[in-house]
Amino acid sequence: MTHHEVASRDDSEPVRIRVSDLHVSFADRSRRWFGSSLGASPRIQAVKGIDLSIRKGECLGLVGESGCGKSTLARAIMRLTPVERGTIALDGRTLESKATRQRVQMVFQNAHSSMNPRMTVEAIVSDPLRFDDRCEKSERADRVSKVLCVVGLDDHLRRRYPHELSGGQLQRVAIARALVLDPDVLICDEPVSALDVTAQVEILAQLKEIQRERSLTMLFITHDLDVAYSICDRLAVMYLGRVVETGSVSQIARQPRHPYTFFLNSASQRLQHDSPILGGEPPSPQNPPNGCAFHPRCPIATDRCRSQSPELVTPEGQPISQAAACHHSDRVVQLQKLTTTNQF
Amino acid sequence: MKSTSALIDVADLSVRYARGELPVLRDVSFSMDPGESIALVGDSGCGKSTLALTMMRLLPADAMVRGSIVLGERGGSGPIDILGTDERTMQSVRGKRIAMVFQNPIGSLDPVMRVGDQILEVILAGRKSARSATRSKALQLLERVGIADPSRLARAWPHELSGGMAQRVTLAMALAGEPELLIADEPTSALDGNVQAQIVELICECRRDSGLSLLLITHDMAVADALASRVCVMNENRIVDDLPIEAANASNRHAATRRLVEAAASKRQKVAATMDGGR
Ligand SMILES: Nc1ncnc2c1ncn2[C@@H]1O[C@H](COP(=O)(O)OP(=O)(O)OP(=O)(O)O)[C@@H](O)[C@H]1O
Ligand SMILES: Nc1ncnc2c1ncn2[C@@H]1O[C@H](COP(=O)(O)OP(=O)(O)OP(=O)(O)O)[C@@H](O)[C@H]1O
Ligand code: SF4
Ligand SMILES: [Mg+2]
Ligand SMILES: [Mg+2]
Repeated sequence: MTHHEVASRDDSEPVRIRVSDLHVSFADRSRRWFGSSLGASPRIQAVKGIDLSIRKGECLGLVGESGCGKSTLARAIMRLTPVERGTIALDGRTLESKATRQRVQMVFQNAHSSMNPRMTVEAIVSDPLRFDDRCEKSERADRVSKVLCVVGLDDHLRRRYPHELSGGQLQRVAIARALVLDPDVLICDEPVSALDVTAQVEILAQLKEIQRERSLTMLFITHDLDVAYSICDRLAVMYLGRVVETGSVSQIARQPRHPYTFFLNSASQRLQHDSPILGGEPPSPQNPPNGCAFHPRCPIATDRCRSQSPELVTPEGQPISQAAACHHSDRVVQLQKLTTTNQF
Repeated sequence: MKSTSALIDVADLSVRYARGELPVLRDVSFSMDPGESIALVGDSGCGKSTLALTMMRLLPADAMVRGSIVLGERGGSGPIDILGTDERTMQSVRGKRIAMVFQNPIGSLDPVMRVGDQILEVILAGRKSARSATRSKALQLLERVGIADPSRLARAWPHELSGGMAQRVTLAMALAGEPELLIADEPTSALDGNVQAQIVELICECRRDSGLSLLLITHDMAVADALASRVCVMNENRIVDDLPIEAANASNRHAATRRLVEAAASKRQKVAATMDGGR
């Protein structure tokens, strides 16, 4: 077995973004909420020890349960959240100076709170262009029109304010703002979850095209596996602040090697068929389980799982592009049988 | 004459925003029976959230509204004319008789008030109960929407919540008021399959146990299928189809209905193909 970081097999392209040993935690500063004094509360470990790299022109999908730390990871890369430990590099250099940061743009999960309510759509989208020396003032309007067209926003909405748009329209503005500077790296946090299926398909196709045309590198956060499968090249599956599995889309979709990934797949089918669904309580980031964090909900957990935390490694006999953090990754295939014969 | 037994009756509703050139809703009519569950679907920008806000009378003051919305009588109090009644009556309607989960959950929370206090406020509004009982009810609600550590979340400020947590907190708040009608605007759009299934289960439970009626706005046809028995399809500011959900698949429906059903089906097929390939 080899120790593994979430990296691509396609060695021909250089690594654009590399995240190493990233830790982010938050203080639980809040005083007690009447009566529920907890004494000194431990910190909330939102991201603990994530290693990942994305090559130029690649789209890495980040999936996982609500609250597992996806947005925190993204915000840390954008330097919007203080990093406790670890490094983030763009083309091999620490991502710090403002100049390099302009090459990285983000579509935020909550479009509303990421926009100045007193600016019109036009002003919001053209605002980042102030930082682009190559773009003359006279060109700005043109660039804005182009990018609004790419995201499919009607031109007559340009003079509106954010609160005067529907949820889906606002989401398109958020994507336009992130694209207008023509970034090298685009981080998307649930960019299409506010859109109807037809609009989703449209926007994803546009993003895919831009990605191909300009070798755009993407980190794509989504809770929707359907969306992840349609746009990403590789996926990283997170659980409670860690990456628990990584692999190409087809590996994750067809041969998951971590039980959590298995349940994620089956949940995406759940409302149509009677697929097995993950039971148990989601864990608390303030008080994580010992050993493997997934053990309280894992149907194939053993004593070893309860005491020893598994590392992200390539399972024996698997191509190096896939890796899972599970002591019993060879038994995940059995879950399908076990769950269909109703053993859980 | 409309049947007076309806829970809520919307008739010939038209809405136009002051800064919009055209009406956003045109002659929208539908009515809901007590305990009924309707999915409202349609393309982005067709007016779904506007309809929901109008039913809560939360539109900006300069919006032009025509038509009528009547909330059925309950326990001695007569029917309420939502568009015509005074603000005090509306305050007793909002949260208690009709509760809403907004499409932008973080925006609907008060940024300077702890999450737990906001839920308490809803539970306590107009009711007399012991603070401690209320507190455990608030924590219990957070647990029911799948929050791992309710006591931490109760103490948290809204900006400390993840996107999916904020969505579930606003659902907990809406349910805290034990409303007759829940208007939920994309209540599961930020949630993964497992949590989504849990939320669907919770809403079903409330419908069984307390006869909650549901007006569900969603672009996810699978969620609509799981929660609603009737579907209203909106297209270009009108309701163009109103039918039992099983009938949505039929071929003789409005083009907008067919498009929605087909888009959802093709998305499903694509995933199934990706996943089945190797099995
Ligand atoms: N500023 C903060 N202060 C305290 N805790 C925070 C803060 N921001 C995030 N958290 C906590 O960190 C954890 C991870 O949150 P994050 O927003 O990264 O989740 P997520 O994976 O993006 O979830 P979702 O899919 O619901 O958006 C959560 O438990 C959240 O409550
Ligand atoms: N305050 C406002 N002033 C002017 N126009 C507005 C205002 N609010 C909404 N609109 C417009 O009204 C139309 C309907 O908006 P609404 O939010 O009801 O759509 P929706 O069906 O909920 O869409 P989505 O699925 O994208 O949330 C949109 O075209 C929007 O731009
Ligand atoms: S390490 Fe053990 S508990 Fe963790 S996922 Fe694997 S089998 Fe389950
Ligand atoms: Mg998030
Ligand atoms: Mg809306």
